[in-house]
Amino acid sequence: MTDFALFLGCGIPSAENNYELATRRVLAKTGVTLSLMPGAGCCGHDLEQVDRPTFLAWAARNLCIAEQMKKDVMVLCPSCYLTLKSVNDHLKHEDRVLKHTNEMLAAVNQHFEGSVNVIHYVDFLLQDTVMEALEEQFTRSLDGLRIGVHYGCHLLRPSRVLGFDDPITPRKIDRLVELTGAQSLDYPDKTMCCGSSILGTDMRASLKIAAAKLTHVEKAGLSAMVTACPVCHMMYDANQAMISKILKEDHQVPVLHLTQLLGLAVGLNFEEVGLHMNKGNTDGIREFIG
Amino acid sequence: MAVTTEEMVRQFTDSILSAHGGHRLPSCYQCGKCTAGCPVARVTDAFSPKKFIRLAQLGLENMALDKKSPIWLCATCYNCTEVCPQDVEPTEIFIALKTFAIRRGILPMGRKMGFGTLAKKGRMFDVGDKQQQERAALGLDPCPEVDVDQTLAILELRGILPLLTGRKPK
Repeated sequence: MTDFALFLGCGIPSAENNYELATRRVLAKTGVTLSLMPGAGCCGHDLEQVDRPTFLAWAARNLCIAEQMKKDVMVLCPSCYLTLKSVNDHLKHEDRVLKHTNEMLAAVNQHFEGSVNVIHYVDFLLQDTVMEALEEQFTRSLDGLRIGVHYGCHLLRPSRVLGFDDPITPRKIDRLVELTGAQSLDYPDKTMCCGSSILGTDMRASLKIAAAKLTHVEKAGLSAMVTACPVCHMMYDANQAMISKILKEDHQVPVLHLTQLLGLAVGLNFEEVGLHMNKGNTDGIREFIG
Repeated sequence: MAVTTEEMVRQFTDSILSAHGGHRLPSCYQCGKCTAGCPVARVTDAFSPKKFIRLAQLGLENMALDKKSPIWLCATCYNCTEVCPQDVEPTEIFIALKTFAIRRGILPMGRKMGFGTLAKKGRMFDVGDKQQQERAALGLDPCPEVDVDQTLAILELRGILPLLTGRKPK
């Protein structure tokens, strides 16, 4: 049994509860349990654009909660992953920054020890023994599905900080998709941003960025897009109807959380992986699994 | 004592050089790989990483941080940082520019709303009764409450709370 502190962040509990549902069900098949983190909030990602010392203290407070739980942190959102991993590593290696951050944390009776690690679940699943355990649970082949993987910016970049995968031609999520029997196909601008972070600055520009990728996926004749980020998923799934309406385009791309796809492969049904809660058209997927 | 233009230019450039990830600013030779790979520059002429790096190099603070400053159009995707042959880390420099912009009260309305929710609730998006009921129906444990006393206290330590709603500090 492996037990992690599950960092939820903002996107998942506010709008993508089905991502947590599917991820929990898939990880349970590999013997993992996930404990929620009392008192934790936003990872702090956007605060870096306001004030760096405050950003470090805010992110570190979340890490302190995991330290008190004596559990490593499992993250489902790439931006939370970048924030918590980079701050954790930074504080572990920069004594002067650590001292200053701990002075700030003292005001809220917290202290960063550097005693836990931060992991994105994709990395967890790709460990040899875990992948084997997962594969043993596969009861439904997804052979016939043509998948376009969308990595999301902050799993890959900045690669110097994250070292998650090759930032130009990443393979990690593709490997998990292919494990299910589905094909993972390349399409133009595969590693490009979804545009969500400028939705509040210039909505039209933001939607255009997302629309370009939906068009690429459609032109490549793919059955669905797969994401490993709740915010990218919101952008392509929940906002797809708005993109079509505002830009006068017609997009009908099913967008699945990676763990929804893996969930189908381990035999879970449409509702069990929360596909009934996806906002976009997922009829093709429902028909496929019969 | 009067501050010369030259002095202002130097101060602005120095503040970027000393910011996290800003020290490689002088190395940019304007090859334009950043703009070629920028998702935002593809859809609007209002933002170009290459141009903003040049403005920063030249110390043109007022142009880089214009009232209608497009600096908030940077999506923080780190594509430019990834492809830069000179290791300039443009995204990190734009993050620094955003911290300067916000101190001038330059923050788009949409960002003010997000930061406002963050200050008040400890999350960028609120988790209310509707979401908790949905979680219960799915058999998920309730989403834990954010310790807002702690998050607010952290925001107050360096006085950034007023900045998050777009007000200039006194």
